[in-house]
Amino acid sequence: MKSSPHVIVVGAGVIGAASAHYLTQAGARVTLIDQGDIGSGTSSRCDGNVLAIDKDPGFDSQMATVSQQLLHELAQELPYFEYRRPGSYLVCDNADEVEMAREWVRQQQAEGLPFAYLDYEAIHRHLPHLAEDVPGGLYCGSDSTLNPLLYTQRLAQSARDRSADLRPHQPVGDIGIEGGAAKGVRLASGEWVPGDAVVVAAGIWTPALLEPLGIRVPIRPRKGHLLVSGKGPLFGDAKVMEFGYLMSKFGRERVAPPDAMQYGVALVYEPTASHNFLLGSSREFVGWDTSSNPKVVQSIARRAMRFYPGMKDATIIRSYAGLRPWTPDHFPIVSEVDGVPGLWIAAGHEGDGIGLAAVTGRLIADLVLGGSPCIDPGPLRWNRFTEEGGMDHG
Amino acid sequence: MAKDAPSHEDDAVIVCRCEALTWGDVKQAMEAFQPTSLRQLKSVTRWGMGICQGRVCRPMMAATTVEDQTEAAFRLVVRPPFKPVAMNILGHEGEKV
Amino acid sequence: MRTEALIIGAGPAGLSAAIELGQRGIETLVVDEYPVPGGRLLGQMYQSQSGWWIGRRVAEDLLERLGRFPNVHLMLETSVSGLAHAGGGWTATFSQRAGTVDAQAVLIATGATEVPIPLPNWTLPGVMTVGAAQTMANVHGVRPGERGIIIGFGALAFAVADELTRAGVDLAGIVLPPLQGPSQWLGTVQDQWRRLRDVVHLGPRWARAATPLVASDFWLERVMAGAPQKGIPALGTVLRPNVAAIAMAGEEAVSGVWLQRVDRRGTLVGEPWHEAVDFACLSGGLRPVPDLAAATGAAMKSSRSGLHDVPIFGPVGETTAPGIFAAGNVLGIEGAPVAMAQGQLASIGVLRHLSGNPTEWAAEQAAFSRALEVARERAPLVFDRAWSQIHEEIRQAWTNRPKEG
Repeated sequence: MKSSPHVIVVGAGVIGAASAHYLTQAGARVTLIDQGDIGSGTSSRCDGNVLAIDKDPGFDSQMATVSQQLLHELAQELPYFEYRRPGSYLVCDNADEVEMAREWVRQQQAEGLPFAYLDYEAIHRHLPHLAEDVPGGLYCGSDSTLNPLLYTQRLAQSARDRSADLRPHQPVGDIGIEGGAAKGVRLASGEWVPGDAVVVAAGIWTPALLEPLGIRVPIRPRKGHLLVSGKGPLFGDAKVMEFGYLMSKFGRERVAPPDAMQYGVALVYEPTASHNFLLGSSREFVGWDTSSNPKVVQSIARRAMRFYPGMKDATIIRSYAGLRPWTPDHFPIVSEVDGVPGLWIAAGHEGDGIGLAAVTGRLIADLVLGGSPCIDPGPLRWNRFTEEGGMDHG
Repeated sequence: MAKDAPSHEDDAVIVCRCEALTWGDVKQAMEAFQPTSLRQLKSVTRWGMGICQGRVCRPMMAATTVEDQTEAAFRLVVRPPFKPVAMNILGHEGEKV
Repeated sequence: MRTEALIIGAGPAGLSAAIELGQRGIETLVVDEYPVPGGRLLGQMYQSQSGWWIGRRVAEDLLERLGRFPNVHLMLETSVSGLAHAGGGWTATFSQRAGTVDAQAVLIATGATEVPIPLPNWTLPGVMTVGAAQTMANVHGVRPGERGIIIGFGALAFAVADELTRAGVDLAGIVLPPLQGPSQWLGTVQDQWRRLRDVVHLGPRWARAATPLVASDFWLERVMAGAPQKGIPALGTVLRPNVAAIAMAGEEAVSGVWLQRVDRRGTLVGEPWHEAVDFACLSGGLRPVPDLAAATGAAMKSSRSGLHDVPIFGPVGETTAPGIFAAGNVLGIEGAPVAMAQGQLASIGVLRHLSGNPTEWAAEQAAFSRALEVARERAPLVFDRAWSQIHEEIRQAWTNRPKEG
């Protein structure tokens, strides 16, 4: 590859913006294209999770931890994006969950990660607003939080400052393949943008961009709702989630009310730097609809009050919903497309796009520019799905 | 009684009461982020993201010049609840009004 | 709870529609945010061609007629927080109470909201919108202060100046708003001056004689820029067309206003001076509150300023969302008689939706349409000249809308 290759990044969400940041930092020329504004897709309809607390020990956890370290460096390097590192908590609903939470902490501690189990007395000392019957929980000290809207904009701004060409409101028509390799992008306007490599970082829109080339990508939109509170007293400064949604990792059934089970609702409490809080979240496969479903909103409110009875008088001023780019094994795809040199995919982060943007952007820069990768890219290969038999290669 | 004449600085004028945002903050964000829509401007400044959800300040946003002048650039999506709601009302199951 | 029709807003449009639905036996629920029904009627008091218009009396009359129909219910202090399409109808939720209302048809009559003007220190206590001052004086019988000033030209500003001075409130006049920085959306000084054309007929006889003069931009500019600094007597106060408010003054509350001369181009000239006032009324105009209509997925006409965002609507208040109707100021800023006729027309839309018969009540529709035209012709005030053009564009958009199936 040339000393200063031209890389076209399709998709200016947090993944594309982080890729553009690291690519320009490593000396590449970048054109960052989006069908809408910078960060107008899933990156603006999410919370600011940067979590290791829910990651499986091993590669999953390692990837999250590297991303946390990179993010910590970005927070020094870029202008303010409301980065804070208060750690995060998982709280248990019942005795069964307590048992699994202890096991989870034991596994994480064995890996040397900063986890702590908190018994009844400890969890209520840490989180005094919790419902009295919450039996226990756990804490992860490395978890951080940020404003996802600002973070995405700061990354794009940083790339622009290093002469990246930002092209918002430019839907991509085709990805140009010549002689079997990616050579550029044809915009819907007809304009041809030539490049040495094309990185498709288009989240849930990735399959539609690659499908015409016979390249199948098993990403599906998984809807999630969030509620926004008005300014008022907070219920703690750190992020709190319920342990229940990890129960499937242990082959156990989660026990929760029918509405929570139906819409995949589990508590997420996220205080923001603006003195309000976000409440989540739901998990549903319901196509491309991003409207707020009042039944899901109601279910999230109820779930939050189960853990925080004092929230009953808190005010909700808005709800919104985003579509997470889900993959079958919950790992993103950060990989070249086999057989199509110069064509890369960086997508499929489900609910972890904000948290994993730093490691993804860095890995894309390493791989595309031929550096040594910051993490093992093996588990993120695109062809893992092909090999497992579910996908055919066009 | 002698009074000091006011400075003609518009930068200190509050344009969003809910988020205590000044015109100076908005100008700074316009320069730093070069937003191409009101939605993007809103997301980097929190303009209109407070309790009034832009109902009071929406016309003031027209004082900015976002590059893109298409209808999509100045359309802001309305999301429920349309008025602030207490959590216990939002989460209530009852059918009776 | 279930109802055939849900009317959101108990102002002139909503109440007029409710009467029509009531007398045709439709189960109707009217909700309003305020503790008292009537909407903007409550504060209105002005002289029109057909005598005094006292909004409160009009509201009382509408409510009395409404009281005859046991099938119409009124629920006050109730804001709609959600409106979701469900089972062929709509399910509404509310901010102040739990539970839902299922309605087959919904009439959005949420009216308009006032737009403040962001001048330095506008967030001090004592600074209010003109409508808030109107409500204080006419509804609650409270003087908004000892001496005030009205900032911003516009039909509502002039009407309220008239009402306040009649109520014995001392005003330092009606002055221009600042027109730069965060206030630049108010337009140019000429735009402000042109608004005088819409109200000159309300002025004293000698002012009415000036109508041809202000009709020409050339003369308008010269007359306004050349006015005496102390102003032109009008509406019981003085119009100061070449003086702009550039800042409010005060520590804990408003104690004064900083004023400065402007020239023909709207440029500030000379030194600013301070005048003592203890309240100020901002008049940035009115804009429809179309949030609920937009949230139902009804096709909208959006504007850069947001001042003219309205649903695309048909002859009987239909929107492109099934079972969603609109009437009154949510469709554009006009007077209460226009809103009342729009409410009556929308009741026809609701009736047809409920019966599934798109041609019934044709004679009533014709009568209400005529009433609407008459109300427009007789309107003593034109709030914003842009609306007639926008309504024409909406008529075309409605005709050319994509049809279902």
